Amino acid sequence: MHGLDRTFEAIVFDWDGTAVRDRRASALAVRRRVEALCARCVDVAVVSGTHLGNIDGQLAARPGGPGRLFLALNRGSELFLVGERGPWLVARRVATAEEERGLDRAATLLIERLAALGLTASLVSQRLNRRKVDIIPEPAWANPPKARIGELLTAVTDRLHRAGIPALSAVVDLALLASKEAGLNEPRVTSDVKHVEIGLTDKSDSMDTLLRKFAERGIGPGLALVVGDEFGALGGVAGSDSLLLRTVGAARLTAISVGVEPTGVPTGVVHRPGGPSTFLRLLDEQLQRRDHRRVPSVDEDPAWTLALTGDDALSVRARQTLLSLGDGVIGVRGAAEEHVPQDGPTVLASGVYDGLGPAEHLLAAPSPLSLEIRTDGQHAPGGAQRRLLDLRTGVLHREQLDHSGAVRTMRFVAAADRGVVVMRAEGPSRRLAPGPPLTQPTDQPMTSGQANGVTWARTVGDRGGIAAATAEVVRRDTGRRVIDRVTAYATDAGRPPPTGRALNTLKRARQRGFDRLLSDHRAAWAQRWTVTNVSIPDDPRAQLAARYALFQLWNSVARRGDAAVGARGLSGSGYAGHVFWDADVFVLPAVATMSPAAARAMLEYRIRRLPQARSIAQLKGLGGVRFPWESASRGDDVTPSSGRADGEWVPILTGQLEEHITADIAWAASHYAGWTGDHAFLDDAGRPLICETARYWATRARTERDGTAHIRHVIGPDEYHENVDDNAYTNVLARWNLRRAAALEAPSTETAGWLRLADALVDGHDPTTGRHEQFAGYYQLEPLLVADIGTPPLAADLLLGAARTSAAQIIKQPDVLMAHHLLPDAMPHGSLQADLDFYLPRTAHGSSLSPAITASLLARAGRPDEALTHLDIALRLDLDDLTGMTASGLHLATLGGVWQALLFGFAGARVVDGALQIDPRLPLRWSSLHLRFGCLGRRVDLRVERDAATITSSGPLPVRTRSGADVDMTRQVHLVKSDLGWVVHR
Amino acid sequence: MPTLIAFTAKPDDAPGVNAVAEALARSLHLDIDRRQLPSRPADNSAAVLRAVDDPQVHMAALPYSAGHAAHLVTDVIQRCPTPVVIIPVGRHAHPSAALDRILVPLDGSIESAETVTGLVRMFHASGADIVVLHVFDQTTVPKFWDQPVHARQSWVEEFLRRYCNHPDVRMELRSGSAGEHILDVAASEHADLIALGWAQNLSAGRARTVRATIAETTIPVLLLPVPSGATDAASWLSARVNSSVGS
Repeated sequence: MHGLDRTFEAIVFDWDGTAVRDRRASALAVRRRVEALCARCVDVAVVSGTHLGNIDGQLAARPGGPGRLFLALNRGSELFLVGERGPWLVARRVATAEEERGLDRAATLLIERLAALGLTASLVSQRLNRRKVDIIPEPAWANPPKARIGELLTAVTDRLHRAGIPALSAVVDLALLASKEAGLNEPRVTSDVKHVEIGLTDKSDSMDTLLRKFAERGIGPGLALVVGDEFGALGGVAGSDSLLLRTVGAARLTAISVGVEPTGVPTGVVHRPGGPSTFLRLLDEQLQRRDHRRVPSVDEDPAWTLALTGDDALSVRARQTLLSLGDGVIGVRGAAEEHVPQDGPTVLASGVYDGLGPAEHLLAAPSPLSLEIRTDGQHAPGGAQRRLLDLRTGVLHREQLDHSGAVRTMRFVAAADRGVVVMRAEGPSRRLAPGPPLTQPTDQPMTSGQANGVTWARTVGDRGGIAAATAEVVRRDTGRRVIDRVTAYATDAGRPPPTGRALNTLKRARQRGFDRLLSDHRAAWAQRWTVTNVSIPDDPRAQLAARYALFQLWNSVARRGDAAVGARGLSGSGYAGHVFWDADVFVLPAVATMSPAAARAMLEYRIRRLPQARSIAQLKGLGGVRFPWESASRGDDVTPSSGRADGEWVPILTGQLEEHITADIAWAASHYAGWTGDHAFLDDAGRPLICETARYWATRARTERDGTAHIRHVIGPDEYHENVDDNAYTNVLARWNLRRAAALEAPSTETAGWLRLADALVDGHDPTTGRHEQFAGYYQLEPLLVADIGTPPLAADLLLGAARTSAAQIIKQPDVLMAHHLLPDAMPHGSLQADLDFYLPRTAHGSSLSPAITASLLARAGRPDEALTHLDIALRLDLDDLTGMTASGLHLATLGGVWQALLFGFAGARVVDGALQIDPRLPLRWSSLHLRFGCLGRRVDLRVERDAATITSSGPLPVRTRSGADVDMTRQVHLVKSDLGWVVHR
Repeated sequence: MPTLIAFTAKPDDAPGVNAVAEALARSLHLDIDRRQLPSRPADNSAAVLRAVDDPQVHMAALPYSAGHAAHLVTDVIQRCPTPVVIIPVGRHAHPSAALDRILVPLDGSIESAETVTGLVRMFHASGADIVVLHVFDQTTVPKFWDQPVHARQSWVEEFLRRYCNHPDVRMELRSGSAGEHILDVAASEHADLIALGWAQNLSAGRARTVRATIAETTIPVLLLPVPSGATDAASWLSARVNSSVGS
């Protein structure tokens, strides 16, 4: 039998005629294989119309896992899970009394109508949720074996013809009519030729349920094999097993018929006649693939996979970034195995730096990726290659071809096992050989050694270090070589970690083995996607890009300890891994909807660096804490003090003047607590982030004789204008910071002072125009618009030069508008529209932070179609390398901004006074938007259509509409759009 | 043997032309064939083009000064299939006998990068410093430029990896038009030679950079013909980086 050359993670099969010849046959051979497959992490499911006693009695399998055995029985009405102690019921469809009466009535009607045509038929059984009518109740055909299906069809057809009934399908049609007449809403009518069954469920229901179960383990339809013996039509009626393919995602299922199939099989179904013996060979083949350590397959679902074909020297590094994997602790770039290490660091670790001051940068780790791959006899890159990044399961698959065969690799950074990187490769022996198990990063000293068949290596920075241990298994048979490599990392930001830590982690990972590591990894990713996900059915391109954003956010943030989230995450060495406000304001709000623990870890990074922030404030003679614009391991300021521009060395003032980060961090702490409902955080560890920052502003701002307070000499988010006074964003954030801190603390002289200062701080708002002046004197600048110089986005400062740009009104990114984004309630009513109208024509969007936030604001302002043009840019920023710098890492703030735009902008989600509020605005291109996210300790499923929305929560959730004051504590609420806005549909 | 034909028009040209030709020959491993241009200026172009119509001729060197031989140069450089080095002669000329530093302006097109990359490799191998210059103008200015120091580092690193992937290459960035910056940068960097790819088209509105450079240069300019159909690098790369399903 020709092999399928594909490894499946789930196998679904029909029982009678497929797995066994008949109900009396021994099923021992099936049992052994099923238990073996489950032991190798494969999910197996039997689908049958019969009941548990028949199937379990015959199969009697008692698998010990980790793969699961399902019995989907009674034609879709029951699902059992089978373990070592036997089967237990997982789900059963229970008919109502009315449905039972309907089934009886429908069967009676059918028998009466057939009798009226001169055909005798009889009700042979009343099974769970169905009635079975025998249309050839003759002794000669009492119990026909499957092998005689062709003869049976002839006999039935002859019998029908004698009654003037043209075909079996006409009986099915009669049954459907009878069912409708009997009041059944969605009757399922099936036929195995001898019988016509009227029921509430059929095999398609079984398959729907099974695919959902498989999805829990990250197994998509493309990784499932369906085996049956009746796919082809019989008498004009679809084969009963074809119902297995009537489900979402069926196009990606692999279906094989081992039956006789007298009329052939439907398109897409592979016909391998031979019955149960062929079926057993299929199972054997799958077991052999595991024994031979074949590279697992990927479900090539276009909604979930990023496919990159070809290879060229110019885009190679950007692609390495795009194909990055990570677990928040370790990041592994998508470098081709034969390119390591010449394309720069391939593995980075969160929070582990080398160097001092502005030169402090992420330490490169030993790389576990190197393989020797020959293409057409050469070590040089070449050949045709295709790489698939599967976002659903977090694996990177590669196929690289030359004339002598394919080299395939798969790798993943284990989502269920911290700091573990797994890779498998297979290919012709003359093409594939293992390289060094751990490769030294370029320009980075590395110590290494071997012990007990394990290779270890370590790189050490000025403080911390990264240890790695790798175990490799190489097998060769019949001209093929397979390489399994499991690598464990131990990282420590403060001191070089002992290699023993990596060795211990490796030992545990090896004990689990490749199959188990992969299975658990897939399941962990599946779990993540149940928490956070996006569906935009009308816009698959945007949907994939948005999922990519979520995927890389999951990869980039550790879920415990203190997470130093650099501007490029762990996907590249760009920006040296320095932590900016990007982390607090752009990434954290997105992460808080995905993993509160990860958001908390990001805040822990700031909490542990409060002493340094206090020292920075003290050095300036000020109170409280002042966070540095750029920080790395210790929290001191690592912002470069000068840089090259137009051939000159120019001072970089952001470190000295871009002070709003101090309030941004306070905002992040407050937002985290509000969004997740973790209010205890602000009573405890998080409080200094708000109160100590307020103390800073209390000493930083100056109150003048006229009673107004000012913050002078700052840089706002718009970095085109340096050393300005009373930047609106900075002042609004500082004012909010003071008030938020006063609300947290017991009233005192100090808090009264904070409140007075907050009231006195100017913010540039002019009630006559309704808008804010970005900083004092901004309106006096040259009234240049972006349209005067080009088409945004563009780096206006590079085009015009720093001097001209700073003298003009063109701005880099939302500044006043950023205050609207973070603090909508702190801005005067109506000022959002006025500020959008004034500042958007002046915004060059020369910062990668700009497009997503602009999209969010425009959507919130009721301009979703304009918003979508900005969102499109943000979605493609890295995928299309719009910056020309994706090679050095992903723009993590943009990825966070994308999710913010979808959730906070287009869905209008906010937490207000402890209740979730939504105010959706869909662009014309989208008729619906479906988001999943965490909020207030619940998992929330939000489905938005143009005029209706449904919020479903994992538990009671306070929900408020924007226009309504009422709060519903509910698990599900339906909203409709009215003249008043979105209101609860009661 | 690959040959450089060095033309001189009058005796005063010879020292400068010969010095540069010899330096080039050393760096690029070329023989030198010294020739005198015909006495009748009208015959010069034809003579040069005839001479370079030989597979062994890899490069031509021509003297140039404003007014003098300008017509010859503008005619030849548009039609000559081989690289042409324009050697300024006269009062303000500073041709160097050693090519220690080469300025390579790159516009970010694949073709111009491919055109110069072989020569850059040879100059680099000969020990010369390579300074790449890219000038941001309205068509090439990046869309995004976040933190200036980090962005510059990332952008320069990737630009060089894509278009001039040699170790130890330095890069200078300017804003404006290339024509206004090349000579300034050449002067500030003390470059001995400017190596410039171009499309050999001096029709109206084209080749502003080449015109501006050769009109005012005091150091030799090596003009390298770029195949026609040069593509905008940004869009070319964008298409290649993401050949993803669903994109």
